[in-house]
Amino acid sequence: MNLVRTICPYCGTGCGLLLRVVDGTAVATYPDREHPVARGHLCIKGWTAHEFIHHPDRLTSPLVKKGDSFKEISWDDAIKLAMDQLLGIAGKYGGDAVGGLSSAKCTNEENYLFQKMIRAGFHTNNVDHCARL
Amino acid sequence: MTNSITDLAGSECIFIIGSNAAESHPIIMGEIYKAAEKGGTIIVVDPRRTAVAENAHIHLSIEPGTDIPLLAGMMRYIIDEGFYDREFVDARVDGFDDLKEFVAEWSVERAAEECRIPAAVIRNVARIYAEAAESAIVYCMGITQHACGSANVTALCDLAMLCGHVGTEHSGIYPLRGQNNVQGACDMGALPNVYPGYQDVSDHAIKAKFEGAWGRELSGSPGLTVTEMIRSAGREIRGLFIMAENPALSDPDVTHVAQSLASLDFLVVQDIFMTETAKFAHLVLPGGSFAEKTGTFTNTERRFQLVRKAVEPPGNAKDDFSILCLLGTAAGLDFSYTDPRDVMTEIARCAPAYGGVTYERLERQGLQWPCPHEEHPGTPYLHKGRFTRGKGLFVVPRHTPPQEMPDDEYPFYLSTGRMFAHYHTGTMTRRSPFLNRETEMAYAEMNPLDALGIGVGEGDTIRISTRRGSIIVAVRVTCRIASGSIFVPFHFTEARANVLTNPVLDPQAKTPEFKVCAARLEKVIDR
Amino acid sequence: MGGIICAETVTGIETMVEETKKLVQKFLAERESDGILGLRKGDWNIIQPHVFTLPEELDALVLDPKWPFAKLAMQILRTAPKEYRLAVICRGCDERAIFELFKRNQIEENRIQIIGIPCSSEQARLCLCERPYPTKLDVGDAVPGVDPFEDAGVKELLMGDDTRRMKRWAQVLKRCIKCYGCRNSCPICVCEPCKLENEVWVRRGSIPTEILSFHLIRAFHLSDSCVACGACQEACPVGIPLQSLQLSMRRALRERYDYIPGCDPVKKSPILGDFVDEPEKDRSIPEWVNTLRE
Ligand code: SF4
Ligand code: SF4
Ligand code: SF4
Repeated sequence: MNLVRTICPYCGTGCGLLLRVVDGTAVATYPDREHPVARGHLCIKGWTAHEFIHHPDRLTSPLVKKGDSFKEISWDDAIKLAMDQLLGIAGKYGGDAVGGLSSAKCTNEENYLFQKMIRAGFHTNNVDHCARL
Repeated sequence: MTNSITDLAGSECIFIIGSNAAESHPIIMGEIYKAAEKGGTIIVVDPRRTAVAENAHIHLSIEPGTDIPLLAGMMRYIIDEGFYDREFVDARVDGFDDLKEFVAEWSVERAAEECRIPAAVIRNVARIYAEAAESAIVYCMGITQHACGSANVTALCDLAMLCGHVGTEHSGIYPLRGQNNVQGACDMGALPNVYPGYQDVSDHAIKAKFEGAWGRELSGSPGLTVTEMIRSAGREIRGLFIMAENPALSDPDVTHVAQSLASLDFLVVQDIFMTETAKFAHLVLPGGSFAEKTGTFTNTERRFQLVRKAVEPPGNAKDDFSILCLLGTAAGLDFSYTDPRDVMTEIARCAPAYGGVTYERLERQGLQWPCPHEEHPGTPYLHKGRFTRGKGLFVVPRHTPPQEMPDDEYPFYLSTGRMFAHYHTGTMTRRSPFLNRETEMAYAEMNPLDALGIGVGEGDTIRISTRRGSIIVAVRVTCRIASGSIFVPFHFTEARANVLTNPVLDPQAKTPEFKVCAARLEKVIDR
Repeated sequence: MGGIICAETVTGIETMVEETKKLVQKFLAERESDGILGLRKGDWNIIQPHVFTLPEELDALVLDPKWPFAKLAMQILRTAPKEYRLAVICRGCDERAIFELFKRNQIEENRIQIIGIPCSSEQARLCLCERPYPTKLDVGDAVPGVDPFEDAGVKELLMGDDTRRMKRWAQVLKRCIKCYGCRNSCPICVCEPCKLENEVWVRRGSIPTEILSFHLIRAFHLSDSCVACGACQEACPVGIPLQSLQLSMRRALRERYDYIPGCDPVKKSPILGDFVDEPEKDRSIPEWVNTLRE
């Protein structure tokens, strides 16, 4: 049995969860009795935090828009396309023509890298997230 | 949040304003009940009779958007009667005369009239809050999502300082953060005016420090906020990178948001599902969910906590850390991190407030910042003995009534918010069968009198219109909401509450006024 | 070892942990089961449930804090291959819950083994536990149980006439945030589909839950099977004293039918199917109920 101790993805309380993983699939969520805030309690969202992880709607490949629909492309092409386009825009109109919306759902490390990428990569401070919403 | 969540259990009085913690932050509500069990008084200010209000000792159902009149009336009474903490105010706060001058305009009677709450109740509440040994204030979006959101917050801070209810274990101010890592996103500098650790982008010395650390020349002028970026999309903003956010559903007046997103030269969206926003993208990158990544979240009490990888991302999806490393490298930056741990080391190095944070120290119980060095134990509550700026400052809150009030054409107050089983734009919760089962359909809460007025009952469909647009939802009849108001949760893509909302912003915080706009209701005849 | 009820724990906790380790070691060596469910104190002293399979892991085995295992054991067996056998380190309540799960055909008896440990008297006081020991103790000594009706909090809840009691319960139950934590944690709540998810009974999409359906359905469904493990109460984020809801019924079962749920792996509930022992009609409401009135 594999119980992975992690943090609830929903609200800012940040309750501790134990995700039970069986053969690479998260099958259940349990409250973490050792967590300093939640102390073994969860709300309905925490208890069901494993449910959306393996949903069939998950995106599984980079997609590029062709006409009205999306086509799968490789990671190499996707990364190149993203940066060619965004750096192209910055070159043509200046860095302030590029903006980035970071995420209150992502980790601190990811937020740090995101704002560093926007600030250092494009010479702009157009970076924000949805704290206000 | 100035204090820690579990400190609430020891408060003698908890003043909850504009927060339905029972539905949005249920575990924090548990701590509040502990305080009640110990004899503490729970006071709730909310136009709706929410689940929190239901369990409070005193519920003040004020008119929407009259928070400042209420708080001003309370402060006036507290000052007049000498209930305030003279010693604290003298020793630790500046600007008392300005505050006195401001509240001089707000007699309790005037406040009572604006809020439609009996003056005696306001006096009673003011006295309980002021006289309790330790009182805490809890607030959420009901305070901030107004055109005068910043002023509302200021007024709360004034009240707390006036009564000396900051800087001790069970007092303080508790803004409840909505998303799991809003705190962290702000802390990490995902804001247009500050670098990680709230270091000003326009300060030359700080800019130079980051230029040194990152090896690139940086811009010294603050950038645009979310709402500003989206508004200027297609004009000033040509290219946008959106990571795991869904403005097409979460921002006010989404009809305009959609037009803006569609007018971009290039839009990249990185997310785990094909969100409403991702549909507008030229390029979609499949990211990782919380269960597929290692890293840290910071909760609303400033606690860094470890997120541990449990499963692999599906198919070709990658965790966001790996994607960002690829992107940064492609942008010519040195993003040669092998592990999120390396990033934390860099964060600790360039933001003094997190200087002592290491993964090892987070393993067991996390760590509350400020934590400047490795020996520092972290900070459970702020402003002990002194404020960040040395002395506190009373700032006069200016009252601006809601920008759009009900009138003959749009006679109802409309406010938006959350319900207990869903979360934000529903991207995750509506794909969770157990949660979706609780509520599968968009709805609006309305008072029985109003329902009778337009001839609808539970489950009937109505059209709600505002000056921005209209949506069709099912009716839920409940006495929790006052006659003349309706409440619409914003989690549902098929009936986007944000088609309706007013995009006016608070001038300082740039928070939209989600809590009040004017609406019209009509019964929809079934085909 | 053990089994005799004495006034205080004779065996110290360290000795008990060591003895349990030896026992688990033996289970592993003799392949009596494929894994042993217990608590592990891992890196950074983090404690969480763990299935021990290797002797070298045993250094990290601990017995405290109380962490209910019965439902977890059932869930582990469900996702494991048919022939997988599990041993569980059981407190009294874990054993009682597992016995009830046998009776409900939720766990096959031949797939599970019980390693019985006693609770300390302090734990018994915390849980208001009447039987802080399993039927068979493998290590340590049992301590006497606690009479929950002597507890001030319980008295306060159950005191007074119907109206007062109802009022007091309504006051606490109204806090319910419908997390389903009580149901999710309760080892006896295993119905598929669960009535609490049925819209006929429990209105969807709003809180608080209806007291008379949500909470009383759960109380009724468990009235002859609640093993007083307290998992529901421990899981409740808003501090509702859920375990006490069952107390009166437990007492009635014991006094009228000499039946304690979970104390025997085979004996069925008297109110389930076997009506032979049913008392006369007019006596089916126990008289002591009235003694609680003021
Ligand atoms: S379990 Fe509920 S209260 Fe706790 S963090 Fe998750 S959403 Fe918030
Ligand atoms: S109702 Fe509560 S005390 Fe009784 S068996 Fe279920 S979880 Fe244990
Ligand atoms: S655990 Fe408590 S709050 Fe959660 S559903 Fe049960 S009674 Fe309600």
